[in-house]
Amino acid sequence: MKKRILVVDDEPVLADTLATIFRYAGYEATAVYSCEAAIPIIEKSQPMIVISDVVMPGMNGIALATKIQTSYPSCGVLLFSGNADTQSLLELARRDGHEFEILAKPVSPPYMLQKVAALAELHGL
Amino acid sequence: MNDLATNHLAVLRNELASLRIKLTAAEHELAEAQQIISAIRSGEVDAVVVSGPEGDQIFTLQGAEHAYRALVEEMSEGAATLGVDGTVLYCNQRLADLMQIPMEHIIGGPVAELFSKDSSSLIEALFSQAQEGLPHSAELELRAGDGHAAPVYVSLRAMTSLEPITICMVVTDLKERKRNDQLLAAGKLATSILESAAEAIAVCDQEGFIIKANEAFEQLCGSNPVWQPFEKVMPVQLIDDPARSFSIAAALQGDVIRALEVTFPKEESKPISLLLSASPIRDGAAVIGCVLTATDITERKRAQAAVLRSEKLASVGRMASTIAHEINNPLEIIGQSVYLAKIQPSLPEEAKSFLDLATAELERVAHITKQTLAFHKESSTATEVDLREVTDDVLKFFNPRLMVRGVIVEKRYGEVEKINGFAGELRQIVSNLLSNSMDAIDTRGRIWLRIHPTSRRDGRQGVRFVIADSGSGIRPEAMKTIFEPFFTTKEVIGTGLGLWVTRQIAEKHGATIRVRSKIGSGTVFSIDFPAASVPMAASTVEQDTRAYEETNSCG
Repeated sequence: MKKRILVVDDEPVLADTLATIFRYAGYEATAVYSCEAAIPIIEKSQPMIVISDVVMPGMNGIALATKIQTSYPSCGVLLFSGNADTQSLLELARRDGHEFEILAKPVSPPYMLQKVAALAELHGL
Repeated sequence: MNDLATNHLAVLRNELASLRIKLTAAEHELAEAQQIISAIRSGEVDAVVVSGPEGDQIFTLQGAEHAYRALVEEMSEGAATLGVDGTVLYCNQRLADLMQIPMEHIIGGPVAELFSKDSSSLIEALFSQAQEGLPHSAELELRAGDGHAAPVYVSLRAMTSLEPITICMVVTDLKERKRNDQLLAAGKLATSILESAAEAIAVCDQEGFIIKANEAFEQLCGSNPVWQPFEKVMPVQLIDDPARSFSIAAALQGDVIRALEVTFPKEESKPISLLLSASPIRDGAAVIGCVLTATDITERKRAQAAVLRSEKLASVGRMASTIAHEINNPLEIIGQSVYLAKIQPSLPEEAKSFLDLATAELERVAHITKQTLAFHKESSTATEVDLREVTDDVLKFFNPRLMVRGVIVEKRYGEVEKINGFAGELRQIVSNLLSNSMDAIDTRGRIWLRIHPTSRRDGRQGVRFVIADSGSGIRPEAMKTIFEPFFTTKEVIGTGLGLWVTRQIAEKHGATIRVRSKIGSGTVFSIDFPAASVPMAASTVEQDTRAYEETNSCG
């Protein structure tokens, strides 16, 4: 069974291309363009890893990551952002007991694959 | 009957004889009186003393007139005698001059007519008081012949010794005195304005020599500026056009120069900024000099510059965060696309090498945006970091460029503890300093990297990072500002943020940063970090910041 990955980014080209890269690497990857769109898919298909942008219109990536950690603890989360001022969002999440790492865009695809592989191993799949 | 007649005749004879005696006496007295009168007329006698039952009485006689008249005519005051009805009985030439009409027109006319409408009721009041024997005086206005009012001081006094009573009037011209008073008052005002003004004020003659300067001006130029050319005392340059010196020639030609920003070089201290104004002083149409005012705006300028700098910084910050997102997303997509192209199995070998080049260049762009645009926190909590690993990471990244430029890196690492911090930020420090060293060397040179353990002042363990280069060195005058934002000597490629960011990060890590440099020899930066075993207490950071301030300007 292929490892399922969900890519969330409000920039459709970016989300689609990243999904393509993961498909080339042998994952089953889906791209959505908002956190709101991500939630029903996570519920339905239980992806192994969610890769999400942070600053997006509507629900932000950290809120999504917090929800995933709470509701789907088996699902790994990787955040990446092009914004410098994501610190305050991280601080807020930390106050609620959630620790996340945010990769700085641009993330080179080999590094991203490496990170995801490590995360997949951590989640025992 | 005859006897009666004879007797009667005898009585008559006797009476005649006594009358003759009386006549002789009377003639004698008359002659004496005539003699006195002629003496008085001739001016030989001023007064007559007459003995009477109540003692001697002194009569000052009108014979004195000639001397007093001469006096009255000669004195600079106007004088007149007035009858009880206010008619002018007599006046001197001076009064006629003041009135600018002939004496004949004054004498015989009512005194009130000599004065202006405003003053006529007052002179009447004075006059009636004087009649009652009260001497009085007041400032009034004469109505001169040409119609204009002349200010005068009038005093009236009744001469009760004369019969009928005559009133004496003395009129003093106030025109001269008034003008003097006005000039005096204006002069006093001008002086007090000059002296109490916070602005430096100088007055120049038409040759440009300072003829008057206030204390503020003297303090500004540091010596007594009077009788020196303004341009020598204050050789100022225009801020907008430093090549041009200020010249007061324009003001001396009649132009008004308003609020010119100039710098005034000082021997002892930094140049000061002045707001200079100059305006001509005219006498009629001719310019007879100019007045200059200078306001010290050094502090204001400095504050403006600071505001501008922080505004610049804030706007760069805002720009960075907006641009970061806009730039980083496309960069991400380009990276992904190049990656996807590269993994296509059908890709010709030649195309692959081009894509490798694209990847490398893309990594460079990504590095630049991360360094200058975003202070990106890769992880949110400080971790234990080995500074040697961080340095090697950065070196790996710089290696190709170092090789191209023929720069040899000598590194020597000691056994050091880990430090508490953020690997990404520490990478930024190393990369900023390494890139500065590389720029200072240009081509062919050496960079020495040292990482070794230290015992900090307080006895606690630390890690010292030292980077030295054989580059061009930092000019001593630039030394004080190298850590300020937007300071750059690399106009074309520099953002002026590198060392500022480096300092910010170092301070955040509780580290102190020092720099030594010599033109033509090179520059050494050394940063002392506390070891991870040393807790990053707030007090430590504070102390270290102070230590930094003490050492940051050492050359």
